[in-house]
Amino acid sequence: MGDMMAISLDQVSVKFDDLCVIDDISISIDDARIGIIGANGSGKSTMARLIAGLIKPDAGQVTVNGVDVYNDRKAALDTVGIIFQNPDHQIIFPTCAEEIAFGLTQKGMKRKAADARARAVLVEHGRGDWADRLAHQLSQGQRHYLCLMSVLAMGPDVIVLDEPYAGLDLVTSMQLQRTLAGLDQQVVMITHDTDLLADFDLVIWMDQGRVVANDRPDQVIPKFIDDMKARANAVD
Amino acid sequence: MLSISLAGNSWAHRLRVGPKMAVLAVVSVALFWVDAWVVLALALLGVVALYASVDGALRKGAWLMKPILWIVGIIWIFHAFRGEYVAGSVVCLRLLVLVGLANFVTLTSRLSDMIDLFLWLLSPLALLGVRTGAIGLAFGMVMRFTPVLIERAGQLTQSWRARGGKRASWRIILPLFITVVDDADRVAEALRARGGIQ
Amino acid sequence: MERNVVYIAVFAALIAVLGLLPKFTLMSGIPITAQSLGIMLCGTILGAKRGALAVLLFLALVAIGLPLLAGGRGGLGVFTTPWAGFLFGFPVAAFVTGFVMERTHNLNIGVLATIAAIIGGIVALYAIAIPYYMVGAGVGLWDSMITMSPFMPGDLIKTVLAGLITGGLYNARPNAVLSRL
Repeated sequence: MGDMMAISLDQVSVKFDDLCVIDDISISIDDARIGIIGANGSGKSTMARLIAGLIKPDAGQVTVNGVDVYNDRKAALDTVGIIFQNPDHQIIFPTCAEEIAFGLTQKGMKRKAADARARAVLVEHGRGDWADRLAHQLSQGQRHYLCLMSVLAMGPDVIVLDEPYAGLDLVTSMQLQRTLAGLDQQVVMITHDTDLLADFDLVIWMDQGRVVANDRPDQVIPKFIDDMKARANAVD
Repeated sequence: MLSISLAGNSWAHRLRVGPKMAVLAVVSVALFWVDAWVVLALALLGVVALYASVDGALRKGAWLMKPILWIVGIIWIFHAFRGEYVAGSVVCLRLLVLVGLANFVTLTSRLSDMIDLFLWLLSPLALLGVRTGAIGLAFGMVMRFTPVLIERAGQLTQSWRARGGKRASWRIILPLFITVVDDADRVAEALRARGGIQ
Repeated sequence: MERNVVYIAVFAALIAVLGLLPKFTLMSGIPITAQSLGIMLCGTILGAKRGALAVLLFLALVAIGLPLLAGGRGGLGVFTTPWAGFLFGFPVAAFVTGFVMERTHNLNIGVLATIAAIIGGIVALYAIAIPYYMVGAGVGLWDSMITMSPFMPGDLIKTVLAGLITGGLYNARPNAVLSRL
């Protein structure tokens, strides 16, 4: 059984066909702000989906705060929420209130109560006027924010974000950064942008399905950047 | 995704959707036993009066009726060709009344009430083991994705033109489908992340 | 389960989107839309059951008043005309198309999709639409067929497109062609 108050991977491997995307990783993390970096194809997106309980490890076990997130989906909903890169993949209802209410009904709330709670959530976030707005009429950044509110409304302990800043303009990404900084939840963020991780507690550098480094940002990021530069030069 | 129904609070809007639909169904069936053109013509006048009693209904109703007029015209010509003037007129009048009434119900009913009624009508399917929750979910998803896909089709059309293609037409359909099935797999994943279909 | 429901919903939306693509005009001067191509593709790509469900979902949303039919029309009225036999025949057409796809294995997938679309999207569809029109419009078999004949060349073109698109999708994303899984 994993640590009761941490994200814990115990000898986890994932294969897609014959390709090993996660290669026997064991790690236990209880820091509040965790960044995951790595080149394309390093396994970091798979890592995010493992922590969110969306893919089945071919070997080993993933637990978050003691919950087996892949097999115990009911408990997983209270434990971990994930926000994907493209909000259009996540928003499945026409209006904002419906979108937020969906996750609540999934947790067993009645429809009327869920709708009322969803509207309250919007008001708490200062977006009370969004309730009946159509999701496709929101801007990209606003849709991201809607995804975040939908997940926060479900009250998970951990929030996983997969490249949340891709495609956002500067103002929107600064706003998102501020919102994330203020969250009480443990945050796991996958990103290409190392600048965003400067004040994080922990950075995990992944390569070829393994953890290369797992330390404070000022320890990991400079080495990571040097390695990426070396690789870029090698291509020339 | 906006419904074609009219915003408003007329007497017809205030009637509940269930009874409205029930009346529509009964009247539609009854019309097939009416063969007197005079009665049908009076019924059509009655339908026009219904539309006139609701703000904006005449205009929108006429717009909805436009393609139907073609159909009616062709049917009448075929009958006239065989000398069946009265029989042709009966068929055409009945058709106009039917379509007019049905559209009137649509125009004066809110989308959310329609959805509720529909899901209520389907609810007995749960006894047969159908997961009716999935139906409501699917309704929402179509309304959410249609505008997204329209935008996507527009982008593909533009990138087709940008590289010299004159008319994109059907050639954008394959790229559209490829991106859409990729999206669908992501959406299914995101749905599972929030508890899936129960 | 999630994947099936999402595919059904997304394809229902695709039928609507195809109805909005610019029309192409045949030599007969009759404009044709790609909407019925969407019906065929539901069958060739999703298979019988899921294809028919996607079409039913699309029709349900038209019925409750969403403007998803070509030309931005919708509502209950379209189901009361003599042409509604096509609408009621659409789910059957998708089902038959998908059924042929699922039961035949030793053919090139594009060719098979065209054949399936002819059997489902033309033969089965018109087998429902023509009698329905005869009763609704009070005319004979010949008159019905003459009335509908301008649309048939367009439908044949669409079966070829259905074959090309299904084959292309199978090459690019074999796992997405559920009728072949």
